[in-house]
Amino acid sequence: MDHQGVLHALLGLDIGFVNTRASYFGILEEKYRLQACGMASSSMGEGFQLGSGAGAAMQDLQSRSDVHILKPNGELIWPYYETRLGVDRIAVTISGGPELRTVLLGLTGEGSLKAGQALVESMPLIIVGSYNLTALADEAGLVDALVTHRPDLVVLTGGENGGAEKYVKGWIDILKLVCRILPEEIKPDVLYAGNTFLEESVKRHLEPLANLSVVPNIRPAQQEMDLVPAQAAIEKIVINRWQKAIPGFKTLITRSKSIAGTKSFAFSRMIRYLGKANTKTHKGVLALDLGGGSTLVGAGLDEDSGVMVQPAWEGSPESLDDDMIDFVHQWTAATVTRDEVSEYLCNHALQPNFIPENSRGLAISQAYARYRIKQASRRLAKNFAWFPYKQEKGLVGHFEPVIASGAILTLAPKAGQSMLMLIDGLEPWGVTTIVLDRHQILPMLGLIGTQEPVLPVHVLGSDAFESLGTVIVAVSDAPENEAILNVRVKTNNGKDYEVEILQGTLKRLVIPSDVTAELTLEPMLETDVGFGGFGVGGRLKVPGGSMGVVIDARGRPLRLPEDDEKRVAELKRWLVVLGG
Amino acid sequence: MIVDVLQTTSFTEIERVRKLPFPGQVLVEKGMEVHPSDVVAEAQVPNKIMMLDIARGLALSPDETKACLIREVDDILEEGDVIAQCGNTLPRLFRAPVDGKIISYHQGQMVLATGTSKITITANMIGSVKEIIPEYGVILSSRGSVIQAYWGNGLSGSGILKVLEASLDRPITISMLGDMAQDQIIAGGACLDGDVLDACFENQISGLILSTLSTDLIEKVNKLPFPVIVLHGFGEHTLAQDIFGIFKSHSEARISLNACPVDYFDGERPEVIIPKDEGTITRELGFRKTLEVGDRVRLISGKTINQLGKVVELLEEGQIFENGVIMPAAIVKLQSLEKVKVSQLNLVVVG
Repeated sequence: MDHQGVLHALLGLDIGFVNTRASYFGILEEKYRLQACGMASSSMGEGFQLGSGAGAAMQDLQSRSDVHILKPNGELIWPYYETRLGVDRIAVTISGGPELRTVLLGLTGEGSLKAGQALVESMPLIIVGSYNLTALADEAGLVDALVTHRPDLVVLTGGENGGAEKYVKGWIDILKLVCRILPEEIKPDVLYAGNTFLEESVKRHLEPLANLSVVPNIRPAQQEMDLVPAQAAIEKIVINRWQKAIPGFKTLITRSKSIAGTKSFAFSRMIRYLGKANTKTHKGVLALDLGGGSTLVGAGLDEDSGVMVQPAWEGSPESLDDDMIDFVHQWTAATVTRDEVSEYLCNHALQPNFIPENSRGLAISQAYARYRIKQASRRLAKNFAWFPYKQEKGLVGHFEPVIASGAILTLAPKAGQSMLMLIDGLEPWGVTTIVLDRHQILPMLGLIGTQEPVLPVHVLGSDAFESLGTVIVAVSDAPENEAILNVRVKTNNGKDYEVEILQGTLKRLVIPSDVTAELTLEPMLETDVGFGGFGVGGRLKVPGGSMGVVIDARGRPLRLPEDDEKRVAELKRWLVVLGG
Repeated sequence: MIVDVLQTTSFTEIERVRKLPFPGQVLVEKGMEVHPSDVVAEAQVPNKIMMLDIARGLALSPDETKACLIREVDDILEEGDVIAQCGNTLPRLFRAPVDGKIISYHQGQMVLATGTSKITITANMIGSVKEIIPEYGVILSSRGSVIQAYWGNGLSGSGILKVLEASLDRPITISMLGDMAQDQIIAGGACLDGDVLDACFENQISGLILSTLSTDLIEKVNKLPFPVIVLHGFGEHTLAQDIFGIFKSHSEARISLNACPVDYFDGERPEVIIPKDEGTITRELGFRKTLEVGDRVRLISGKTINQLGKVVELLEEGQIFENGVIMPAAIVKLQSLEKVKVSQLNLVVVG
């Protein structure tokens, strides 16, 4: 930072359960740019200090670029303005710490508890108990149950603003007892996010007994839900607890005077921003991160936004259910038995760092990625009614772009594999573009944006994100192999051609990254390409990308042949079409 | 690259911390011998809440009741103790209906905890108390072999080791089990047959150590009343030769199993401890470590899965594998002297 308060060089550290990534943002031609990246194993857990992994990621960054941020003794150089070396500020996003055991208290399952669940599932928390007002009938039993849960956090929701107070007061009485009973060392944090008219009463009764945070009602009226203030409060609670639970975390952020936040909240901040920025296009934005420790999915559409975080393996092999194994078996593009899939997934759950070295393992992992995308989208739709993901149809709304990250996607040997995992998992409708966040900087931009709001704007407009390509989905009830769409292609390098799309097929149009193309879509009467109904077509300008344009006419929902041999052949054929 | 460490040590100094989450009472003394099921520390949390309507019982208003209380919050009561009293000549009394502790009083209502739930910490190993952590727990120590595993069913126990040599390269069958005794811990290869587990259950053995387990049997194993440790994960793999060697040389020894889940933040893994007094000490490595040339490693994937080897070279720049994935690799020299290239991520250091 110089004397005018301008930040010239920022370092982002994204610390996950498996990897720590360092990203250096500097100014080039008066705009912030991602100038260098580095990565190392995360030094999280017993016997390690978090800073050593962060240091290794910084060393890696420095060794791969011209950027100079470390002294020979490994210390960070700062501030930048004195030496034109080093950084002005560090931002740390973190995930992979121990999830906070959370009890949710509310009034009704469809009302406050539903909003509470959406809140809890948007942060690194795990619900260990959820109670509605019927539980208040047995106060003694309820107190015992809450004490037995030994929660780290209690989220108390319920009551519209100005609504009935009786039941919320009942919860306050219960919580007072619980806080009196539990020893100081394991007393939970309490977050009140209910009827604002009761805030004073909540403070008066609970503040002396617990670490209380009071935020605006997450469900102020029947059709309203606002999670952001509650997420911000939970963020502070999580960071505070992780500073105690993760060796070296507190030292890292105090020594480097960094700003620190959870990856999920930083991610959700970015989703909100992108959703609003997209308002003019009437399309939403969707982002996915298939991390080693958890899956993050978030969507923003106008004023609505929502995020869901889900542990990648739910912690143990016991959590693998038959539906998951069946799905992964069905979508594995290799001849494997169901038992092999089950063993692979169970062993992977025990060793989250594991990377497949052979084709069969890779095929199972990529099928599992589809499952993770599908599950997370389903859960997001369950928590946020406006998010139009339907189990039987896929993602029926228009979301563009889809921004994806996570090693399984970014380290896939072929771009077509990444593209197919995303299309099969999301089952989008209409037209969308797929962007890879190879360096996993999206959440980091969300956090840094709180300090330097123009940085995310500049970086999003740069080439820090890799365009994978455009997806056009043509949906029709026509029989297999019948023509359902005609596409005329005109590129700016003088190539004009026409393509006929048959029902049940997948087609790739190669459009290199430095080329743009104008597509004219002429759907048949019974075909929907997302231009406003069946038979409605139009023109579309698309940039090139490593995958160019993918036209998906395989139908919705995607169906696979029953016969194992035919199914594997079909999956492999789709991969071949996309060059995977 | 930081990788997991799994101890397979034939002789080492073992130290394990057993600690309560909040203060309680330490029940052992320094120097005491302990066994897996021994409770070393316990803490209590009040429960079984009872609401007492004192105002109603004394026929007073809530405001009037407070002045009549003769016991206060945190007092321990015995059944029949007077809690509140009003009137001088013919006093009306409110007595504790049962034993308990007063948790709170508000507006004529008293909350009594009539029971306590105990949180106990067990030793989960054979050893002795090296140090007391006042109010919280102990540091236990022992000397002997440690063999750590990937998965356990959450229980702990001890018994006499019986090694099923016949199952070294074949899945365990009922006939291999032979005569079983209650005090036995059976160590063998892969378990793919639920009947084997049923037979062990019927004979009430004290524990089971398996190379691998069929995923179909996870639920069944979780219901068994004795500890089960799975050394190499799920599927069908033979017991690693080095581990078999340790077991074989300690057949009939008393051993302990701690089949706890893996905890990255507390640094705990399921483990077998074979106490003994003599040997050449190898220092225990940590829970995870940075992979280095010279590390003794076990491969967790590929054709040479579960084999031991030594890292002879680290290739930090991405290497292309058979499936096209690019990642940092290591060259590992196996005990057969064959050199193999594996992903650094797919190695565990053997302590």
